[in-house]
Amino acid sequence: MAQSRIGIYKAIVFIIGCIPLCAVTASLFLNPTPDPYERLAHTTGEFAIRFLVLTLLITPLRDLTKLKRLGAFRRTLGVLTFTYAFCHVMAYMVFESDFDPAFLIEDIRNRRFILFGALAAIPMLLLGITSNNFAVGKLGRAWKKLHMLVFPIAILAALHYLFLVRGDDRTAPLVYLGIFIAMILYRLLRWRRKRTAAAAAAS
Amino acid sequence: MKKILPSSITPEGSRLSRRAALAGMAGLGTLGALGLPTRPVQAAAAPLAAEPWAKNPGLELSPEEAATTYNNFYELGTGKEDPRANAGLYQAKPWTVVVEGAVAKPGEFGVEDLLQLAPLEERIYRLRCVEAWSMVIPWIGYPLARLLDAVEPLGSAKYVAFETFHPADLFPDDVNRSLPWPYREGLRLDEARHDLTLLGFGMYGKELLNQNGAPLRIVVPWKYGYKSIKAIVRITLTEEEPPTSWNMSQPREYGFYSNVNPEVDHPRWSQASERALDGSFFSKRQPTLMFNGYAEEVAGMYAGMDLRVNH
Repeated sequence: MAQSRIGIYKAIVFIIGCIPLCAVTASLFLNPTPDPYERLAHTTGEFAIRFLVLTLLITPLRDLTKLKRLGAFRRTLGVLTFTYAFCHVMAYMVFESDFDPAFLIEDIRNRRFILFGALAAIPMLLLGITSNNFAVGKLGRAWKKLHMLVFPIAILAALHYLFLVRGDDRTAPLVYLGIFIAMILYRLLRWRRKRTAAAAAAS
Repeated sequence: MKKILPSSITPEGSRLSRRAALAGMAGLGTLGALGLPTRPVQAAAAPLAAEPWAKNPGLELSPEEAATTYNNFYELGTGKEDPRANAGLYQAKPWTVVVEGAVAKPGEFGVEDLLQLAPLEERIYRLRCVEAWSMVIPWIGYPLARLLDAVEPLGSAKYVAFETFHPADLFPDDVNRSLPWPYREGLRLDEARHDLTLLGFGMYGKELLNQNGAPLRIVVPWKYGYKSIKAIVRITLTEEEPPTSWNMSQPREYGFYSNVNPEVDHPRWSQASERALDGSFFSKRQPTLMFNGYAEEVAGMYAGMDLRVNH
């Protein structure tokens, strides 16, 4: 797989990843709903968290398959996660809050799921705007550190989901929360193993 | 698809089995995964004639399609568009309702008999969901008091409890454990006898569709929508305040009274305003009215009560 080919594959993954967004937008006109906000917010939120799972799965999958080039898709999936999360927040801003600061403050103060959504969205924006080659080059080693924020973001996003569930069936958010915790534990173990190996090599 | 009869009520808890651990990732089926809700063919509802209510307000009705496609009916799924998609899972005909408890004349009533009990009226009511959206619906029915009169409540009766069919059999491959089933609701007897409390059989000039609670439901316009229980199979007059499903699930969030009150916020939604789902793309936000605009008629029933405590 030549370098230029990877670019094409990444573009294909991105385009496929955008299909649900196009579909839900089209559905608002082909199959109208009295509450476009509900459908948009629900679908974009669901896909944001699904793409987040896929993004975080790349590293363990790469370790498992020893396919180094898999890593190239991590940022593509991360950008897809950001795209859906951004649309999710915009749906809330446009349909629900009307960009009214007073409404936003009241909502964040009184509603736990909104608070956790906001706590996840703000660092997510930071990751989104630094997910380009220019920023990667500019930030150097700091980029990797900055993008470690994806782990707390994942936990906050799962809690946002958990707190918004009505009724007694919390299976879906708990499954996501479990996956994210497992991903973090995996990274911690991997990091420790690497450090021990490095120390052994140095001595 | 399995059809159930109201009589096939499964004892609670008997059908519950654990979902597969990855159920959270479910919904990845093709159309669902694309976020493109399928558009099921709308069942045709039979016309239902009724006299217009003398007190109908001059409100603009929500589009009929909004009221039949955007529903909360957790037995048929927790998504707003699930009840329409799953409407065919239960059969609304034939149907009987058991009325029992503290009454002189308990009995089992067929829907056809209930339709003859009192003249049907078409009443235009505001509907306010606890999720902070609202519609305006032309219901067809008569005051629930007509049925209560017919069964003659005893002096000891203080409350009316309602029950919907148990959804255990609706989804053979999946367990729906979103609420304590069967769905239960309740009213104080004076609320149940209030002239505004409707026993509803239809809307928009037709019989109710399943997603709207066919064949019969109640409509209590000054309370949040979840109080207006759908597809009723049992009505019990009781001396004690009956348990209600949402209150059992989250007592802090959902009280027994659930009167629309813009001053008492819900932990999930500000109740000060609502999005009026009037068919426009960007629904407009409007202030929520005390008792959903029915304060004049109903406020007297709650005189002296702390509505924050008794929310």
